[in-house]
Amino acid sequence: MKSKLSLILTSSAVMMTLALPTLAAIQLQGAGSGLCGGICAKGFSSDTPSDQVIPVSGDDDDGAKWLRRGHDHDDDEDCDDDDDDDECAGAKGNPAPAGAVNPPANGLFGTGARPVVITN
Amino acid sequence: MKSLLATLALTTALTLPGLAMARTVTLTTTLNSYGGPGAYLAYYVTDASGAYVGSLWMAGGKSKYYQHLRDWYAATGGDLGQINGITGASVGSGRSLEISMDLADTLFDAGYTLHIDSAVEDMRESPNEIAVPLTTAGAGQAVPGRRYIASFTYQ
Repeated sequence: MKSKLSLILTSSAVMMTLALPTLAAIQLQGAGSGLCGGICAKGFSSDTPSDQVIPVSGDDDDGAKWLRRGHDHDDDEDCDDDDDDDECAGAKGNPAPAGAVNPPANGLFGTGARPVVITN
Repeated sequence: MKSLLATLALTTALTLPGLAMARTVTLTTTLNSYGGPGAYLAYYVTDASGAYVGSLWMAGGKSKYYQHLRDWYAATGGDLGQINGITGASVGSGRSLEISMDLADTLFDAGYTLHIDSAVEDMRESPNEIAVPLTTAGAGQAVPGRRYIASFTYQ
Protein backbone atom coordinates (compact mmCIF):
# COMPACT_ATOMS: atom_id res chain seq x y z
CA MET A 1 0.00 0.00 0.00
CA LYS A 2 2.77 2.32 1.00
CA SER A 3 4.69 1.55 -2.13
CA LYS A 4 1.63 2.33 -4.28
CA LEU A 5 1.10 5.60 -2.48
CA SER A 6 4.72 6.59 -2.86
CA LEU A 7 4.57 5.66 -6.56
CA ILE A 8 1.53 7.88 -7.09
CA LEU A 9 3.17 10.74 -5.21
CA THR A 10 6.39 10.41 -7.19
CA SER A 11 4.61 10.34 -10.54
CA SER A 12 2.49 13.32 -9.51
CA ALA A 13 5.58 15.24 -8.52
CA VAL A 14 7.26 14.46 -11.83
CA MET A 15 4.18 15.49 -13.79
CA MET A 16 3.90 18.75 -11.88
CA THR A 17 7.54 19.48 -12.45
CA LEU A 18 7.13 19.01 -16.17
CA ALA A 19 3.74 20.65 -16.54
CA LEU A 20 4.15 23.79 -14.47
CA PRO A 21 6.64 25.63 -16.72
CA THR A 22 4.54 24.81 -19.78
CA LEU A 23 1.39 26.13 -18.16
CA ALA A 24 3.15 29.26 -17.03
CA ALA A 25 4.45 29.92 -20.53
CA ILE A 26 1.00 29.51 -22.05
CA GLN A 27 -0.49 31.93 -19.54
CA LEU A 28 2.25 34.52 -20.09
CA GLN A 29 1.81 34.43 -23.84
CA GLY A 30 -1.92 34.95 -23.44
CA ALA A 31 -1.44 37.83 -21.04
CA GLY A 32 1.15 39.43 -23.36
CA SER A 33 -1.04 39.42 -26.41
CA GLY A 34 -3.89 40.75 -24.34
CA LEU A 35 -1.82 43.66 -23.10
CA CYS A 36 -0.26 44.93 -26.29
CA GLY A 37 -2.38 43.29 -28.94
CA GLY A 38 -1.50 44.24 -32.48
CA ILE A 39 1.79 45.92 -31.72
CA CYS A 40 3.22 42.79 -30.12
CA ALA A 41 1.79 40.61 -32.85
CA LYS A 42 3.47 42.83 -35.45
CA GLY A 43 6.69 42.96 -33.51
CA PHE A 44 7.06 39.33 -32.64
CA SER A 45 5.31 37.36 -35.28
CA SER A 46 6.63 38.89 -38.48
CA ASP A 47 8.88 36.59 -40.45
CA THR A 48 9.65 39.04 -43.22
CA PRO A 49 12.11 41.72 -42.25
CA SER A 50 10.92 45.27 -42.59
CA ASP A 51 12.91 47.57 -44.86
CA GLN A 52 13.43 50.53 -42.64
CA VAL A 53 16.44 52.79 -42.72
CA ILE A 54 17.54 53.09 -39.14
CA PRO A 55 20.27 55.52 -38.18
CA VAL A 56 22.04 54.42 -35.06
CA SER A 57 24.71 56.28 -33.20
CA GLY A 58 28.22 55.28 -34.01
CA ASP A 59 31.45 55.14 -32.17
CA ASP A 60 32.90 58.03 -34.11
CA ASP A 61 32.14 61.63 -33.60
CA ASP A 62 31.15 62.07 -37.17
CA GLY A 63 28.64 59.54 -38.05
CA ALA A 64 25.69 57.38 -37.46
CA LYS A 65 25.62 54.22 -39.44
CA TRP A 66 23.39 53.92 -42.45
CA LEU A 67 21.79 50.67 -41.36
CA ARG A 68 19.15 48.97 -43.41
CA ARG A 69 17.31 45.86 -42.42
CA GLY A 70 15.89 43.51 -45.00
CA HIS A 71 18.07 44.71 -47.81
CA ASP A 72 16.67 42.11 -50.18
CA HIS A 73 13.05 42.89 -49.51
CA ASP A 74 12.16 46.39 -50.61
CA ASP A 75 8.50 47.09 -50.74
CA ASP A 76 8.35 50.76 -49.98
CA GLU A 77 9.10 51.94 -53.48
CA ASP A 78 8.56 50.62 -56.92
CA CYS A 79 12.18 50.90 -57.84
CA ASP A 80 14.97 48.72 -56.61
CA ASP A 81 17.27 50.05 -53.94
CA ASP A 82 20.41 48.61 -55.37
CA ASP A 83 22.90 50.82 -57.12
CA ASP A 84 21.10 52.11 -60.24
CA ASP A 85 19.39 55.33 -59.37
CA ASP A 86 18.30 56.18 -62.86
CA GLU A 87 15.31 53.90 -62.74
CA CYS A 88 13.93 55.92 -59.86
CA ALA A 89 14.43 59.28 -61.49
CA GLY A 90 10.78 59.83 -62.16
CA ALA A 91 9.53 58.42 -58.90
CA LYS A 92 7.30 60.59 -56.84
CA GLY A 93 9.12 62.40 -54.09
CA ASN A 94 12.51 62.37 -55.75
CA PRO A 95 14.18 65.50 -57.16
CA ALA A 96 14.15 66.26 -60.87
CA PRO A 97 17.34 64.91 -62.42
CA ALA A 98 19.87 67.16 -64.10
CA GLY A 99 18.80 68.05 -67.58
CA ALA A 100 15.11 67.72 -66.84
CA VAL A 101 14.80 71.25 -65.48
CA ASN A 102 17.07 74.23 -65.01
CA PRO A 103 19.24 74.47 -61.89
CA PRO A 104 17.60 76.27 -58.98
CA ALA A 105 17.83 80.05 -58.95
CA ASN A 106 19.88 80.14 -55.76
CA GLY A 107 22.36 82.74 -56.95
CA LEU A 108 25.20 80.25 -57.22
CA PHE A 109 24.84 79.52 -60.90
CA GLY A 110 26.06 82.25 -63.19
CA THR A 111 24.09 81.74 -66.34
CA GLY A 112 21.61 79.05 -65.43
CA ALA A 113 23.31 76.67 -67.85
CA ARG A 114 22.78 73.03 -67.03
CA PRO A 115 25.77 71.24 -65.48
CA VAL A 116 27.70 68.66 -67.46
CA VAL A 117 28.58 65.49 -65.61
CA ILE A 118 31.13 62.78 -66.36
CA THR A 119 31.54 59.70 -64.21
CA ASN A 120 34.63 57.55 -64.64
CA MET B 1 23.00 97.29 -92.65
CA LYS B 2 23.10 99.91 -89.93
CA SER B 3 20.23 98.26 -88.10
CA LEU B 4 22.03 94.92 -88.29
CA LEU B 5 25.17 96.42 -86.78
CA ALA B 6 23.15 98.12 -84.11
CA THR B 7 21.43 94.85 -83.23
CA LEU B 8 24.78 93.06 -83.10
CA ALA B 9 26.26 95.73 -80.86
CA LEU B 10 23.26 95.61 -78.58
CA THR B 11 23.26 91.84 -78.20
CA THR B 12 27.00 91.86 -77.58
CA ALA B 13 26.62 94.53 -74.96
CA LEU B 14 23.92 92.56 -73.24
CA THR B 15 25.77 89.25 -73.40
CA LEU B 16 29.26 90.28 -72.29
CA PRO B 17 28.40 91.30 -68.73
CA GLY B 18 26.67 87.98 -68.20
CA LEU B 19 29.73 86.09 -69.38
CA ALA B 20 31.97 88.19 -67.23
CA MET B 21 29.88 87.43 -64.13
CA ALA B 22 30.16 83.65 -64.46
CA ARG B 23 32.94 81.15 -64.90
CA THR B 24 32.90 77.50 -65.80
CA VAL B 25 34.12 75.51 -62.84
CA THR B 26 34.84 71.79 -62.85
CA LEU B 27 34.39 69.93 -59.59
CA THR B 28 36.29 66.64 -59.57
CA THR B 29 35.68 64.14 -56.80
CA THR B 30 37.54 60.83 -56.64
CA LEU B 31 36.29 58.21 -54.24
CA ASN B 32 38.27 55.67 -52.27
CA SER B 33 37.74 52.00 -52.98
CA TYR B 34 35.68 51.53 -49.85
CA GLY B 35 34.03 48.39 -51.21
CA GLY B 36 30.39 49.33 -50.78
CA PRO B 37 27.52 50.48 -52.96
CA GLY B 38 27.37 53.91 -54.61
CA ALA B 39 28.00 56.90 -52.40
CA TYR B 40 25.52 59.73 -52.01
CA LEU B 41 27.25 63.11 -52.14
CA ALA B 42 25.74 66.50 -51.40
CA TYR B 43 27.61 69.59 -52.61
CA TYR B 44 26.53 72.84 -51.03
CA VAL B 45 27.82 76.29 -50.19
CA THR B 46 27.83 78.27 -46.97
CA ASP B 47 28.68 81.92 -46.54
CA ALA B 48 31.29 83.50 -44.28
CA SER B 49 29.02 83.16 -41.27
CA GLY B 50 28.46 79.46 -41.94
CA ALA B 51 24.89 79.93 -43.13
CA TYR B 52 23.64 77.70 -45.90
CA VAL B 53 23.46 79.53 -49.24
CA GLY B 54 22.49 76.85 -51.73
CA SER B 55 23.26 73.50 -53.26
CA LEU B 56 25.49 72.83 -56.24
CA TRP B 57 24.95 69.13 -56.84
CA MET B 58 23.37 66.01 -55.39
CA ALA B 59 24.80 62.63 -56.35
CA GLY B 60 22.08 60.11 -55.61
CA GLY B 61 18.49 60.26 -56.71
CA LYS B 62 16.45 58.78 -53.89
CA SER B 63 15.19 61.34 -51.45
CA LYS B 64 14.53 58.81 -48.72
CA TYR B 65 18.27 58.53 -48.19
CA TYR B 66 19.00 62.26 -47.99
CA GLN B 67 18.62 62.24 -44.22
CA HIS B 68 21.98 60.48 -44.12
CA LEU B 69 23.64 63.52 -45.68
CA ARG B 70 23.30 64.94 -42.27
CA ASP B 71 24.56 68.50 -42.47
CA TRP B 72 22.95 69.15 -45.83
CA TYR B 73 19.70 67.74 -44.53
CA ALA B 74 19.88 69.84 -41.38
CA ALA B 75 20.43 72.97 -43.46
CA THR B 76 17.71 72.31 -46.01
CA GLY B 77 15.21 70.12 -44.21
CA GLY B 78 15.50 67.83 -47.21
CA ASP B 79 13.87 70.40 -49.49
CA LEU B 80 13.93 68.89 -52.97
CA GLY B 81 13.53 72.34 -54.49
CA GLN B 82 17.16 72.92 -53.56
CA ILE B 83 18.38 70.17 -55.88
CA ASN B 84 15.89 69.99 -58.72
CA GLY B 85 17.87 69.98 -61.95
CA ILE B 86 21.19 69.37 -60.22
CA THR B 87 20.76 65.75 -59.20
CA GLY B 88 22.53 62.77 -60.72
CA ALA B 89 23.42 59.18 -59.94
CA SER B 90 25.35 58.09 -56.89
CA VAL B 91 29.06 57.50 -57.36
CA GLY B 92 30.55 54.02 -57.18
CA SER B 93 33.43 52.93 -55.02
CA GLY B 94 36.76 53.88 -56.55
CA ARG B 95 35.15 56.04 -59.22
CA SER B 96 35.39 59.73 -59.92
CA LEU B 97 32.74 62.31 -60.63
CA GLU B 98 33.43 65.38 -62.73
CA ILE B 99 30.86 68.15 -62.79
CA SER B 100 31.28 71.22 -64.98
CA MET B 101 28.98 74.13 -64.20
CA ASP B 102 28.77 77.87 -64.61
CA LEU B 103 29.21 79.44 -61.22
CA ALA B 104 28.78 83.08 -60.30
CA ASP B 105 32.03 85.00 -60.00
CA THR B 106 30.83 86.45 -56.75
CA LEU B 107 31.29 83.06 -55.09
CA PHE B 108 35.06 83.29 -55.25
CA ASP B 109 37.28 85.11 -52.79
CA ALA B 110 34.24 86.25 -50.87
CA GLY B 111 34.27 83.95 -47.84
CA TYR B 112 32.14 81.18 -49.29
CA THR B 113 32.90 77.54 -48.47
CA LEU B 114 32.02 74.49 -50.50
CA HIS B 115 31.01 71.45 -48.44
CA ILE B 116 30.49 67.82 -49.37
CA ASP B 117 28.49 65.44 -47.20
CA SER B 118 28.75 61.77 -48.05
CA ALA B 119 26.99 58.58 -47.06
CA VAL B 120 27.03 54.98 -48.19
CA GLU B 121 24.39 52.35 -47.60
CA ASP B 122 25.18 50.06 -44.67
CA MET B 123 28.23 52.15 -43.87
CA ARG B 124 28.90 55.22 -41.82
CA GLU B 125 27.68 58.69 -42.64
CA SER B 126 30.32 61.29 -43.27
CA PRO B 127 28.91 64.80 -42.94
CA ASN B 128 31.09 67.69 -44.00
CA GLU B 129 33.69 65.33 -45.40
CA ILE B 130 35.04 68.15 -47.52
CA ALA B 131 35.00 71.82 -46.57
CA VAL B 132 37.05 73.98 -48.88
CA PRO B 133 37.03 77.78 -49.18
CA LEU B 134 36.18 78.97 -52.67
CA THR B 135 39.17 81.05 -53.63
CA THR B 136 41.00 81.72 -56.85
CA ALA B 137 44.22 80.55 -55.23
CA GLY B 138 42.65 77.27 -54.13
CA ALA B 139 41.68 76.26 -57.64
CA GLY B 140 43.40 73.08 -58.78
CA GLN B 141 44.60 72.10 -55.33
CA ALA B 142 43.53 68.62 -54.28
CA VAL B 143 41.85 68.33 -50.91
CA PRO B 144 41.69 64.90 -49.21
CA GLY B 145 38.49 63.60 -47.65
CA ARG B 146 38.12 61.71 -44.39
CA ARG B 147 36.24 58.56 -45.29
CA TYR B 148 34.88 57.94 -48.77
CA ILE B 149 36.44 60.78 -50.75
CA ALA B 150 40.05 60.28 -51.75
CA SER B 151 40.42 63.78 -53.19
CA PHE B 152 38.46 66.79 -54.36
CA THR B 153 39.50 69.62 -56.63
CA TYR B 154 37.79 72.56 -58.31
CA GLN B 155 39.23 74.53 -61.17
